[in-house]
Amino acid sequence: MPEVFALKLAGPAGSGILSAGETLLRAFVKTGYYAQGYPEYPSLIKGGHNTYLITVSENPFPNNSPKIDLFLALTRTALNNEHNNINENTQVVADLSLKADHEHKKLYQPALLDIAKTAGNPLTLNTVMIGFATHQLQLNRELVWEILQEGFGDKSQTLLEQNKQAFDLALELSKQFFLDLTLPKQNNQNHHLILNGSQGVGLGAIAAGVNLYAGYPMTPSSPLLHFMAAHQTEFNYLVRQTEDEICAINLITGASFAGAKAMTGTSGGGFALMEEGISLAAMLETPVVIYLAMRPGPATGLPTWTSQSDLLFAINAGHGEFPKIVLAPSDPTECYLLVHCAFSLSQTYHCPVIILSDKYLAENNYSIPNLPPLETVPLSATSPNPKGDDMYSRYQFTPNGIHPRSLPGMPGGEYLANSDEHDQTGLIDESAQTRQENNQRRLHRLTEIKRNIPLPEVNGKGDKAIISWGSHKYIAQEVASHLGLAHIHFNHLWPLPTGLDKLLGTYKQLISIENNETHQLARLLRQETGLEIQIQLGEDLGRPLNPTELTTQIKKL
Amino acid sequence: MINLDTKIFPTWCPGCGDFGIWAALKGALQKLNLQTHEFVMVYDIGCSGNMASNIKAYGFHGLHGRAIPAATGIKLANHRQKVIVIGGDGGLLGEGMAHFVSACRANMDITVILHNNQVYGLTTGQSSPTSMKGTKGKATPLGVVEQPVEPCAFALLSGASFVARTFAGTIPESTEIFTSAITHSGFSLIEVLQPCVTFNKLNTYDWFRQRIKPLTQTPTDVYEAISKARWTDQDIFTGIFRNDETALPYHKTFEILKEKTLIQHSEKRDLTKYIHDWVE
Repeated sequence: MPEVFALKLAGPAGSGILSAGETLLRAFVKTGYYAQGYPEYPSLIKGGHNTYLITVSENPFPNNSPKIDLFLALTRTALNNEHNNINENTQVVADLSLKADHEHKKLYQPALLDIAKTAGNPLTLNTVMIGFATHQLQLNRELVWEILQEGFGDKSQTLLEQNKQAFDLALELSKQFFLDLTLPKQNNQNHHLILNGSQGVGLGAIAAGVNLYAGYPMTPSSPLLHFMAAHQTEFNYLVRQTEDEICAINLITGASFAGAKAMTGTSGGGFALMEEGISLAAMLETPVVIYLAMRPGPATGLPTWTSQSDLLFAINAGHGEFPKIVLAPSDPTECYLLVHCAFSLSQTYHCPVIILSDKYLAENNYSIPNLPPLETVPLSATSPNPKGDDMYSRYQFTPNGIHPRSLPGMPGGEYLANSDEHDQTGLIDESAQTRQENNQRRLHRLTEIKRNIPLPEVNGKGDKAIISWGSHKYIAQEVASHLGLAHIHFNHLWPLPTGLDKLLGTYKQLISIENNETHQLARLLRQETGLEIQIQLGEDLGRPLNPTELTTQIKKL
Repeated sequence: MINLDTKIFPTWCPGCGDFGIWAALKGALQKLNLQTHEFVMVYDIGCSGNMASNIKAYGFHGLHGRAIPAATGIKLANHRQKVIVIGGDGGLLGEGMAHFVSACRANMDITVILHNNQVYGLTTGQSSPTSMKGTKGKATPLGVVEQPVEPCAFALLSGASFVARTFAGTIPESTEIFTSAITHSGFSLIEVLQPCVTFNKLNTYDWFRQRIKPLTQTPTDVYEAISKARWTDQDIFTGIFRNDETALPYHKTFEILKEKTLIQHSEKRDLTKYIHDWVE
């Protein structure tokens, strides 16, 4: 039995590749496999080349398999584009009408399109693929049909009947083909939830008690915008699609000032527009949570692809010097927990918290264990005791630099949240003394935060370690496990915790793995600890890093 | 009467139109008998926004051009608060134009007091989006080529439900109009003709007094309102161009804001069906 099995579906945008992939992924997980599903697509609506890769494994959190066992192609383009990912053992299924190369040794050509036509609707082609695969993968047909049906929601009865016919016919046709497929063990006892990173982030925000989410569409942050919008009525919060990202960040800062737990989300270009607002939120000491889903830049870059190239950008975002927190979850479970934590940290430290994700994490569908219920994050505001005619000393000096805030509506709490340097009540004050006291008070918070940030997670033993962050946890873990090395994984990226230099100093050799070209984490670690990461690996091709290639690369060193 | 003064006296030039607006605003707030915790002042950046340190109330002095988004956030979080924006032609109609239009379109329930002095004063005299054609500014020494933005006509076209113009030199009239605007439910814009005595030598108090004519009656429809709101070589009308109480403000379209404000929705959320077993 193989450890992993990979199935790839490929076809033009609009042909239902993504929904077919998700249906099969659900069927695998419900059957008892560990599995994950990753969509890749260009930035267009119809045509092009979309793929959905399902990696089935005997172990939890499999990475995208570089080796495809079963390839289902709808078009000639699909066959051409995936040529490099197909090897001599790949079972290739292409429609009978396609002129396929005979170089594919294991080529099967059922008349899939004909079935869709017989069913009376060419759009049932994705159902035909599912039906064909269901038999070959020995999935339970009732189970698969049930999942498929759920996906149709309340679409018309005719459509449902056409799809049922397509499904049944494809399944029968499939019986005439004898593909050579072996699946891994069904070891999944505890992963009963399928979530992508975007959903994890959304659920974390809802659990934390988000009142307002504002955003402007931008891939790959839009799935979160859609998720938040879809659930607003159910959970009594508001979503506003703003005219731009600048509005979004200023709007949530205003809302937070007035007592809302508020959040925005964007990708690199939009985040660049938000920077002045991030600086503002920090100056006003108003809690905000910002979700940044990375994609490759510069500029528009590769809009629908993945990258880890905005780490230092996020950490250094905004003009002036001020405290902020940057967290980078590694899977949907951590998305859920760390976003909840982000709300809590922002309420505690009155500063911006950035959640750093990327297209890979945002859109990869993971099978994970059920998530724990969480309490609503309490709002950090207290009703002051009115004192005569003075304004409230909202920015009064305290040992840890944080003073309780008041909210509009609270008598005696009147203060000015002032973008200009200010006195304790917020009124403008440009004196050198006030400037120094206030600036140092704000920045002192970083020292406080550092003490409360956990050290990175360490797995495995030895004096050599692989270092990774965010979405690349399981990729780095696979490399470390192949090579028998320790693995240090970061999900709290800024500020880095106290004691990190001591931890890293115990290793003779450190190898960083990042999905960017300039080894940003390695540079950050050197900046903060003075330690050199001896081997710095990574690239930014729009695709998540390949653990097999990395392992080979490290072995050769 | 509530005290709205802070320990800081305004830093505007002697004779600045902003003094008249400040006085009229305080007059309106006192007339409405609002307590200092019952409204939020949101200030843009510029001479107008420097009023931030001169009004004792909850205040938000944000970024240049971004007062309207912040005001929108405050209103959505707690719609029981009156939210008043103080800003100039540079911030609100330059960098902030997209936000201005968006808030008009949404009929967001905020009051925008636009100090229109047709110049960037605090940055010492560059031309602004409302500068008249040919105006020579420090950054446009050859004269402004562009057509000026007309905020009242623009707001009317974009769906604002209360649009008015007043003159910084007539405090009683401004007080009256501010009072109506703050009471109005929906987006209200008051363009205040505000002479800048230091950097705008063209649009002076005298220049305005020769052209200002009070509206004798409120226009009956938006098109008439737009035509009255436009400046001509001879006439600049002041008064209320539109006051439509039937237009639903943005926040009133949401069921969840009927009984409670957004921030009063603080109940624990039961996510069981999403975090146990299958998500849709």
